[in-house]
Amino acid sequence: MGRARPLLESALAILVGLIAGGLLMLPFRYDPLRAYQALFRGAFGTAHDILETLAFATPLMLTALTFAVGVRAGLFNIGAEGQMYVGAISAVFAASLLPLPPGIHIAVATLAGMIGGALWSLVPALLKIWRGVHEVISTIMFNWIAFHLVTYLAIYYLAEPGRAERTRPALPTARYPVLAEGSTLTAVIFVAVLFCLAVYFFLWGTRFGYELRLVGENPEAARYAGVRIGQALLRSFLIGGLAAGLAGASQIIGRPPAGPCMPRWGTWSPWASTASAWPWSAATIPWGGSWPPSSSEPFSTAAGLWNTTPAWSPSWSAL
Amino acid sequence: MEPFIEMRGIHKVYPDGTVALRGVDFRLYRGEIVGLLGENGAGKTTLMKILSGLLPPTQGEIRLEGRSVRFRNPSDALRAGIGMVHQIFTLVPPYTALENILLGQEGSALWLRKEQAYPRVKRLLEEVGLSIPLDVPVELLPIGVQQRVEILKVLYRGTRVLILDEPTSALTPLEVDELFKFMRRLKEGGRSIVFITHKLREVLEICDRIVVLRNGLVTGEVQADKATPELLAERMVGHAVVPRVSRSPRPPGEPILVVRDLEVMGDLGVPAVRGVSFEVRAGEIFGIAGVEGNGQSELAQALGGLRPIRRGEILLDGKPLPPLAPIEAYRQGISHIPEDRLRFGLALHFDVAENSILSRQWEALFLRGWGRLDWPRILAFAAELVQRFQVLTPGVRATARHLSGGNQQKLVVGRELSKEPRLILAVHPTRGLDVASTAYIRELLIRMRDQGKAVLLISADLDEILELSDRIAVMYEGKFLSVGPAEAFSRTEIGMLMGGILPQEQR
Repeated sequence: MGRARPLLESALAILVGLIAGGLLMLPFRYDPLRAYQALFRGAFGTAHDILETLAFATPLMLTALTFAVGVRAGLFNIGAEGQMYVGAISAVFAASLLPLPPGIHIAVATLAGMIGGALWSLVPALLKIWRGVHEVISTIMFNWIAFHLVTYLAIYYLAEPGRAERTRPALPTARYPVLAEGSTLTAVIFVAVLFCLAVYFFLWGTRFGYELRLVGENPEAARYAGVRIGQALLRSFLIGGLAAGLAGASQIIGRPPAGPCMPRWGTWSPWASTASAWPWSAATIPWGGSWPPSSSEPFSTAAGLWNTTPAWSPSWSAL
Repeated sequence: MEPFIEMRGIHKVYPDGTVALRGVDFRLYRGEIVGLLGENGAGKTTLMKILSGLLPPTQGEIRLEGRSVRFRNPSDALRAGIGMVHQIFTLVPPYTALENILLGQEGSALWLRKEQAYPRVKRLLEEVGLSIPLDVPVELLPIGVQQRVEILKVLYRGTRVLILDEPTSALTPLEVDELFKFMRRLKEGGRSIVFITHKLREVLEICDRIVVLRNGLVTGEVQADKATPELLAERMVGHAVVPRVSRSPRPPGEPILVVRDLEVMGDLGVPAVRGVSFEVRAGEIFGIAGVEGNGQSELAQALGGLRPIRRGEILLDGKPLPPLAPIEAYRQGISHIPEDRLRFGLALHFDVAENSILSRQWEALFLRGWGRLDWPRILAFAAELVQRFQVLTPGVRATARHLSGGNQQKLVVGRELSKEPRLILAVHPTRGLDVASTAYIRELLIRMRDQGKAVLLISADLDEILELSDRIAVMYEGKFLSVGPAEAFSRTEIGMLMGGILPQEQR
C-alpha cells in the first residue's frame, strides 16, 4: 500500500504483458524465455544498448505524456502522432534554413518544434470546446492530415537538393550534442525529462493544474468550483501538443546521424507510432503521483485500462 | 370482484441498506385509475418499479389474476401486460415516433417491420384517440407529444396496465388536460392506470381510488369521491410534531439576499422557476419546502451562478450578482452547499486536502506567486477543517472516496461554512445521512444563523424545514404558493401547499 502501490501496479502490468506475449508465442513454437532474454539483452545488455534504449525512449515518453495529460483532463487525445510530425517539420524549417548562432539556434529549433505541435493540437481543441467534436475522431483525422502535409512539405519545399528522399539536414549549430561517442543519445533527453517534470509540477503544484485534473475527474464539480472548462481543456491540448512537438523536434535535432534524415516518413504509419505511444501511457500515468507526494491513489479508472499493456520505462521510472 | 393485480407484503431494501418499502399491500382492478400519492422517498416509484419488473422485491408476492407471478425483467412484465412510463424519457431523439415505438421489439430488421407495423400503429392511435406525427424525428416534437410517443410505445406491446410516473411534471396545463382525456379513454377501453404523483388536485380530478404512501408504508387508501385535500395531505406528511431546535431569539437583521421576479429555464426547455421574489435577512433561516422537481434545483443553481437567468435579478448586499459566475458569487459572500455532494461538491478521487479547497482554489489564501498552490497552507487548512467539523478520515491525504457519506458531507459543509460567508445556500444539506451527522449539520446551520448569517435552506425533507426555518416558503410548479413565518403553518397546511392546494382553497 501507500507509496509502493503505483510501483506494484506498474510491475504487475509488465508481468501480465510479458505473460500474455509469451502465451502468444507458444502456438508458433517460439521459446518465450529465449525471446525475452534476447529482448532484455538487446535493450540493456551493454552500456551502449542502454544508451540506445534511452535514445528510443526520448520521443516515446513525450508522446505518452501527450496522452497522459489528456486523460487527466478527461480527454482521449490520440493526436500525438500528427503533432509530432508537425513538430518535426517545424524543427526542420528552423534548424536547416535559419542561420543562427549556436546555442540560440538549438533553442529556436526546439521551440519551433514545440510550437508547431501545439498549433496542430489547436484545431481539435477548439472543435472540442466550441462544437463538442469528440477528440478521438478529430485527432485521428488530424494525424493523417499532418502525415500528408508533412510529406508534401518535405518533398516540395524542404528536400535536400540532390537527395530528394530526405529533407535538408539540420545545421550543426542546431544539433544537440551526443552524450557518448558512438551512441545516438543526445542531450535532448534532458530537455524531454525536464519537460515531463515541468508538466508534473504543473498538474500537482499549480491552480491551473488542479483545475485541469478537476475537469477530468468531475466536470460538474469543476463548474461548481468556477473552473472555465474550455480553458482547462485548451491547456491540456496545448501541453500535449508541446510535448508531441518536442518529440518531433528531438528526432530532427537530437538524433544522429546528422539529423537531416526523415527516411522514415515513407514507412512510418501513424498507427504504428501511436500504438507505440500507448504502452508508454500505461507506464507513465501510474507514475503521476500527487504533489507533494502522498499516499492517495492518483489514478483515474480510465488509466487503469492501459495498465494491462506491456510496458517498460527505464527513463521515466526515474521520476 | 377479484383484483387484476395484487401486491402483498412488499418489502424493498436497497443494496446500500436504504429501506424503501416496509410491507406494502396494493391492489389494482380492471378499468380503474389509481393515484399513488406521496412525498419524495415515500416509495411510490420503487413500488411501481417492482410491479413493472425493473426491481426485484426483497420480500412479498405479486399476484396477477389470482396467480402468483415473478417478473425477472421489464420484458416479463410487458408480456404479462404491465408497462411503465418513466419520468425520464427513453426515446431516441433522431428516430421517428414509429421507429421509437418499434425499437427493442424482437423480429426482423427495423425497416422491414416498419411497413407492416404502420397500419397497426395507426389503428392503435385511433383506438386510444391520439394523434401523433409518426414520420418526424421525436426530437422535433414538443414535450407533451414526446410523452405520448412514450406511452404509445408501451401500449403497442398490448399493455393492460399502464403505470405513469409523475407524467404531468413537464407538461403545460393544456397538455395535462389532454393527457387526462386520454387516460379516461384508456380506462373506458378496459385498461387500468397507476398514476404516480404528488399533486393533490390532479389526483382528485382523475383518479377513482387513491393510495397514499409515506416512508414505505401505506398510510391511506380512499375512494376519490370521499377524499379531501386535507385528508390526503395529512396522510402524506403525517402529523408528527417536530421539536424546533433551540435557538437564540433574535430579530432578523437587514436583508442580505434579495431576489426579484426571477425566472430560470429548466433542462427540458420550459421555465422551471416562474417569477419568484423573496429576501433572506441576516440572522434568519429561510426555508423553501416543496416536492423535488418544482424548480428548487434550478433556483439554487441560478443563485450559485451555475444556471443562466431568464428574467429578474438577484441582489447580494444590494449588489447585483452577475449571472453564470460562480467565483464572483463566492467572492461576494455566497457559500453553496450543493444539492448532490457527489455530483457537484466533491471530486471522489481527489484527497481530502484537495477537496477542502474545491471552489476555493482561486483564493489568494491558498496560492503563492505564479499560480502555485501553497501546499503547506492547504494541508494545514485541511487538517483544521477536519478537526473543526469532525470529519472522520484516516488523514488529509486520504481519498474522498474512502470517506462515509456523512463525513463527505461534513467535509463539504465545513468547507463552505469556513468561507466566512454572508449567505449560506444549503440545498438538501442532510440528504441520505445518518442521524448523528444530520443533527450535527443542522446544528451548524442554526449556529450560523445565530452568528447573524443569512441562511437559505432548500429541502424536500419537511421535518428539516419545520425544525430549522424562521420563515417558510412552499414552492410548487416554479412558484411560491405561500410565504410566512414558520409558526403560521400547520404541517397539514404545508402538505397541501406542497400538493398544489392554495390556502383559500383549503377551507
